[in-house]
Amino acid sequence: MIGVYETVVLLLGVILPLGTVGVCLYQRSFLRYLLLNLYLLANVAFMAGGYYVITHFGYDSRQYFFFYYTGDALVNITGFILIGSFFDRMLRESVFHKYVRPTLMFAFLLIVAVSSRFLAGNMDRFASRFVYEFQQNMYFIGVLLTFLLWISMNYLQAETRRFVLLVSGLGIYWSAHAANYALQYLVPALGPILTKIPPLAYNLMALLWLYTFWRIPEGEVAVLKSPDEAVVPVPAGRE
Amino acid sequence: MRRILVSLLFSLLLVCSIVGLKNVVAQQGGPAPVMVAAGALPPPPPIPGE
Repeated sequence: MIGVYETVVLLLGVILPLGTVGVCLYQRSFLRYLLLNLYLLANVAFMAGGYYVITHFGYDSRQYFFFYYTGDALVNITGFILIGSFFDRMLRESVFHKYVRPTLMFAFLLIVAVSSRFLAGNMDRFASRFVYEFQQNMYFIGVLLTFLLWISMNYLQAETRRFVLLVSGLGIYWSAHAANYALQYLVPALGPILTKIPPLAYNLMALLWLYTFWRIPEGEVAVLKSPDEAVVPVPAGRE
Repeated sequence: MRRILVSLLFSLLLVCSIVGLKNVVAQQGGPAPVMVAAGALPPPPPIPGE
């Protein structure tokens, strides 16, 4: 069985996203943020399923092992589509808008192809090898796309503060996963501690999104300004 | 056609970047890292042979 700490983190991971979805429903903005809500609900379903498998088959079971990595691949695909929808929204007025969807589609197909290259000679372990490789690639492309999204948001001026905070939440979450992977290679001794960070980052993202939907009004203008519009302070006495 | 070609180039650039990033990290050696899945579930203990 899992310990008290893991259970508390897991409970928070279910309560915070459900709270976010509840606030969206209350504000009647569920459909406006449909993909984001679906992503949160996919995560909740994945965690509820995981808890069920742990309690019925055990934490050390093969069933949990396969559920954990296979279910994650499906949730990650939803996350990838969510990032794509943010790109679509960000670049709506840009000349690059028409390239967003085909680019993400090709990128996804290429990731599947790249992940499959490890299958030669490993067909007996098809699921575990493919899913493991696919998961790594999805996290790395997720963090890269979120970074690109953040840069384009700075230069194209994000329309609302809500959008900025939603992208920030994604950045915290995906970068925690990529950093976890990289740091485990660099400092293997810290592995048991590092693996506890992504679930906390997930809760932080859900908390930030809950705060965003609860406290930030829909139309509030983002405070981000493009570099050429930055206000230069005038020295005293020269006004 | 141009749209498809440009999109394909962009996606190739993206995927090459992540493969490059991963290889840079993996060159540090050491045991394979434990991947943590989405959400807040604890990662399962490794199963020999998988």
